[in-house]
Amino acid sequence: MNEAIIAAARFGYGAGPNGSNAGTNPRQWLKAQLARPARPPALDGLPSSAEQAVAIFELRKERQQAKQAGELADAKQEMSPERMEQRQRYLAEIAARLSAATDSETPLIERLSIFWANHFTVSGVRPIVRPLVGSFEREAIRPHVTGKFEEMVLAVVRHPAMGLYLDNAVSVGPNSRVGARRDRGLNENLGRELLELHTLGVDGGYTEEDVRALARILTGWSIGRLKDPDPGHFHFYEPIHEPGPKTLLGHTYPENGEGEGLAAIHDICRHPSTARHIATKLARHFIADQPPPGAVEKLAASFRESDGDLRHVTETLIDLPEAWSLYQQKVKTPWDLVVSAAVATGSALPVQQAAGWLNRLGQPVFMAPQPSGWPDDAASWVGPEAVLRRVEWCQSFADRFQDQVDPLMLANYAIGDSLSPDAHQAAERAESRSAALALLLASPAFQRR
Amino acid sequence: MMIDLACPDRRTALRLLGAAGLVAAFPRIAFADQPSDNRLVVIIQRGALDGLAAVPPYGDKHYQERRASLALPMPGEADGILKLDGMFGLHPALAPIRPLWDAGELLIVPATSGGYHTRSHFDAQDLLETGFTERHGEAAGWLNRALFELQPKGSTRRLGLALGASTPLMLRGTVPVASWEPPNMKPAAPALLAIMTKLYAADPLFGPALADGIKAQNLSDEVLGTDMGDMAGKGAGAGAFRAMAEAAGGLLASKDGPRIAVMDIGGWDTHVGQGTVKGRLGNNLAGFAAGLDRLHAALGDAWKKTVVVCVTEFGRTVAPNGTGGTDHGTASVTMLLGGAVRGGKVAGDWPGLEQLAENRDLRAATDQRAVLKAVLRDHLGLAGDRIDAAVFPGSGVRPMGGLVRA
Repeated sequence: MNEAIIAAARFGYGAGPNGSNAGTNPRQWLKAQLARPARPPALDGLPSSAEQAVAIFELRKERQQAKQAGELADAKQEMSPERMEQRQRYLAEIAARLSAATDSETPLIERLSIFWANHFTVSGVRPIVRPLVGSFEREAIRPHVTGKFEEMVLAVVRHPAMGLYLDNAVSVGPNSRVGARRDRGLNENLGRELLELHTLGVDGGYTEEDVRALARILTGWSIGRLKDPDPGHFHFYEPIHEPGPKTLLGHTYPENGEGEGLAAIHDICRHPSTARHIATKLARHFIADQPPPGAVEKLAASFRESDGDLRHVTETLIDLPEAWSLYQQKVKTPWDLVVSAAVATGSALPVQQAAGWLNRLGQPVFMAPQPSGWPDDAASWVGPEAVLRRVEWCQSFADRFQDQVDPLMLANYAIGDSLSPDAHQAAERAESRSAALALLLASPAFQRR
Repeated sequence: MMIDLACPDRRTALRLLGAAGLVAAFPRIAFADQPSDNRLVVIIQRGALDGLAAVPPYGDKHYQERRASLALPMPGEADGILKLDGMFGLHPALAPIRPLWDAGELLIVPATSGGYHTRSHFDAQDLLETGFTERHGEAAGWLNRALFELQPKGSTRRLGLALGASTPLMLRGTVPVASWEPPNMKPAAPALLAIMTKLYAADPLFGPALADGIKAQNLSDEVLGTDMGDMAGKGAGAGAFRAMAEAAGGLLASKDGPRIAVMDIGGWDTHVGQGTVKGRLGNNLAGFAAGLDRLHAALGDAWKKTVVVCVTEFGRTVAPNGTGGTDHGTASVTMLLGGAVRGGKVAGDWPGLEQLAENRDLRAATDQRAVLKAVLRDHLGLAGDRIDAAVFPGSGVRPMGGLVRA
């Protein structure tokens, strides 16, 4: 099997009509991308989280004032253009994300960005978070995909999107100045997911006490409001921070305000369970649903030894023999499928349609159903209805983009030897270009990576 | 649904598409130099239609012997061929268009080919659409070149209309055309599901999932071929064709709308289980006829000014193959329908079934371009020398006479 094709499909979105850039040294090609993780130009000019968060606060304020003034009916009517604008912004974010993926010179960086954004899911299923999901990926995820894991965790936890999504922005220490006065209290959501999903993993050896301790440690980590000097940005509110020492995973953190959280995050990122959890997820994403234990162990060791240096860990992943020998073990998610079909045919995706396709294929952009993100195993994506939808989609896509490429050439540069002789023959014999392209895109060899 | 129409009558477009689908503006422009008000619809039957099944030459003394298991019951027999003249009839599934013959609105040109020699679908379709007999990188279709000649200079009206998700090569070129697309993500065509069932068979995940999905949708009979009996008009190919035919009729009928439309219907590549009266081909012909019916109805009075030309990239082998189907051949049939057709007759020669091309195919008697040239000249009023020079340069084919009402 051609390693350039494997490199392009496993660690990117596959090869396009001009072939893959992987060349004669695919591993080198991949590692070189880690050395220059360029920011895709498609992401320029989109609003920042802070701007969006300020807009949310201002809107709330206006509505409150309108309500107090008894003008709610009018205020409601005025929501409509606001909603339309939000929809436009949401589509602009989807367009940028799609272009960043399809046009990338460093597709591995794109794949890593999607992987880590899914690991640290914030989802637009909570309407208040929706305007922030794109900027979350740009601000908290992308700058760190080849950096230190700890820095990514910090950026994530401090980001307003995560603060709103997992409620930490409104979590109040029960014994804090504000908490003692008012009937508001602790929200464990972020504390729990930070341990269960983002670092140690569900079997990582923590207790319910640890969840509550971390939640208490993180009280006060919130978002600057309109009256604050830094509206829309991360803001530590001493008045809601739970006072006193906290014991997390057997270690006692003395009272130190914001510093408690910094120290706790530093420590949980270095917990051996975190290395294993991240290693397992990376291997599951890039190699196989049931990753080989040896591969996981090597990744975990790399994570531990490098102090969570993600560039180093990714290089270890690239050098794993299993990453190359276990080709075609993974089924593409709908996102991977749509993007890789666009890349394979050299097509520019029409954004509104692409968003509709992904809805119908079961993976609406920025809308993961839960904090655990989109599933990363074939069984979740290959149900009876889902497979029909996929075949259907391949046909619709092929109808539209049939003129972009010669299907048999696509079979060579994008799929290669993993295409079964049956499928190749069916493509040769197909009654039209569109039929040939549809069956190639639907073929197991293209659906898998 | 996608819409890109520069000019057609706004009310018609709204009725067809729903107000939400409309984004384009509709400038109304009056022309000093009006193009012909006649309508042309070209239907590309992709996959190579078995002309001997669609328009069986039942009067040829070698018909039954050569067609063997694929021979249709004779006229007068149960489910028999629908007699046209002493030699030709229609497949029984084409019954909806049989009345057009008596009305003088259906004309048959048997044994046509595009003048090229290839058994590749893709190559042949490209040549059919560019109008040449050899590939030379031509990226424009013959009908777009014809539009260039027909379009009054300086006019922004879009005379051409492409139905479907992409513009067929035949209509591509320098002259912009309007387009209409059926709603997105239509159900997968039974033919594609049949192929995928085979290709997924060895895949432990996709194989069982698709089988269950098909079962759940009660598609299994159609797709897996155990009972192909009741598929008429249900296949997605034919379903999309009906939608396109109806849209085309409505848009062509509108006062300032397009005048020349192209649409596709697939499903003709019947290598396996082609069937006779019923079966894959019979079902597809029924869907095709149902679409033509819709087109006829939607055109309304404009039907009188319309010629519909049905073309395919090549024909199929005369004898059945080992799997109850037919393989890629040479000549097929070209059908013309419409109020402007001087029909009720067969035009062109019949080479007979005694001697076959390469001992397997119906020989070509008429170059399809002779039909197309005739339609451009006699129906759309394009000058013969411009057709020879600009639309089908170097073809050396003379237009047929008497195909359309002057």
